[in-house]
Amino acid sequence: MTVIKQREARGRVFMAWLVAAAVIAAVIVSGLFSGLTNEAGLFYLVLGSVAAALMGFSRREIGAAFQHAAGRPGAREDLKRAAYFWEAAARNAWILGVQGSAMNFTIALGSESGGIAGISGRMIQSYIVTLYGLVLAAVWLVPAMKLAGQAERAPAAMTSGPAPLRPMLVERVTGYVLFAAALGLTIFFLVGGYPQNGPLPFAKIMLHGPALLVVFGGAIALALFIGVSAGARSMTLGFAMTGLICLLAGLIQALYGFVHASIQEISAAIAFIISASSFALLGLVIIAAPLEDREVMEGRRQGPGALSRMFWTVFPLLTFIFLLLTFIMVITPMKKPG
Amino acid sequence: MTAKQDESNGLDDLLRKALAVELPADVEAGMRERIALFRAGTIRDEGRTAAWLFPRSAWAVLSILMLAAGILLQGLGSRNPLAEKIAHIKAKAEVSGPDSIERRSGDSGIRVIAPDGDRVRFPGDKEVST
Repeated sequence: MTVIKQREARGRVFMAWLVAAAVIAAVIVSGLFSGLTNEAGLFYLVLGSVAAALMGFSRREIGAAFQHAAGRPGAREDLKRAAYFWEAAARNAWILGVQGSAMNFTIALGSESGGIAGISGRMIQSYIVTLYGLVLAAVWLVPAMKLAGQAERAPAAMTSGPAPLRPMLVERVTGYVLFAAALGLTIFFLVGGYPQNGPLPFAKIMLHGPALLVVFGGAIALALFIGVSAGARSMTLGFAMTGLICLLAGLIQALYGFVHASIQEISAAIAFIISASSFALLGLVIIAAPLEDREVMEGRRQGPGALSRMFWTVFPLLTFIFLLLTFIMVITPMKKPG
Repeated sequence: MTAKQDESNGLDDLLRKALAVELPADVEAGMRERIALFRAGTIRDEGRTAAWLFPRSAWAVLSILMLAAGILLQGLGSRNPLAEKIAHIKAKAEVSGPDSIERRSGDSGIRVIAPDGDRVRFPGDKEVST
């Protein structure tokens, strides 16, 4: 009887994974038919997600999360940790999707080939990465929610508890190297077809000095101000709040640019908005989020803070809205031609 | 004072007698492991705190300088390659206007006619002539 029940449960899990795979395949294939594909963006999202998982979790934790998602029963704490892994994977996919769009947007604006219409087309195409990120996040949230529900009913085991404190240097180094490779290769794929002037012109375009200084300076200052007791949450708050301030400051500068009818002012503001949001999202996904993940997995905290969860959801969404606004600001003339 | 000491000693004896229970070996081993983990975590956290606190003032100065420099550079309108590219695109958009974008329904993609007559291909279109 128990064997039959186990088989039925495994069958249900297999079907659930099959449906998830079908959803992903449907999104990709429908994109292929409608012409809305972004191969470089998809590559960045998938490889970036794997890298981000390795930055925050050990191989054993990742393996256990996959096993529990495939139907292996476990103690309450183990299931909670597995649920947290999938929640973190969904978070990373969402943040990386929007960050990939911002990066793609920068490259689209940095290349002037194809005239205004061609640039507009590439800017629109950059939004597809966010769509991929959202679909992937939705798929990863399914095991997260199921495991969280199972954890509530599961018995607490005596041997269960905080994960043993073992160094995970190999995973972290692999994660960061993989992420650097994903970033570098994506930029290479994206800029490959465009004409370039001088050595490393796209590096100059992407490394926006003021945005880099404000985001990292602001994040460190805020984290120091919040203090050590908040742990990694201070970094999440630092990057997200600095990013939000940059978005608002950039918008105000752009609006003043429209009032003064100054293309230079508007352009400076748009460049600041795109670059600052991209750096803030990058800081969230490669610095703040892995630190918070370690705190949770090592049992130093029960779970991520409510504010952290809010920022992980809201800040990428606001960035996406601001990318739409910048698109409108770029292509809309200030006065009627002629 | 002596009466109080006697009372304490009596209480200690009582506690020793009440708690003198042999724990099962696996429970004892588990407890020892948890205590070792707790100690290791505490020591590690203390080390981290010390390492974090030591350069704290330096980090504070550096972050404020970075922030101020970034705000000044952005506010004073320093030259930036991305902003220059956007300005160039924006100037083009000012000349051409949004009327040059022609949307076609019933096709898999969006076809755009640039102001200079170039036909630009969007994903899904088959031909490009620029």
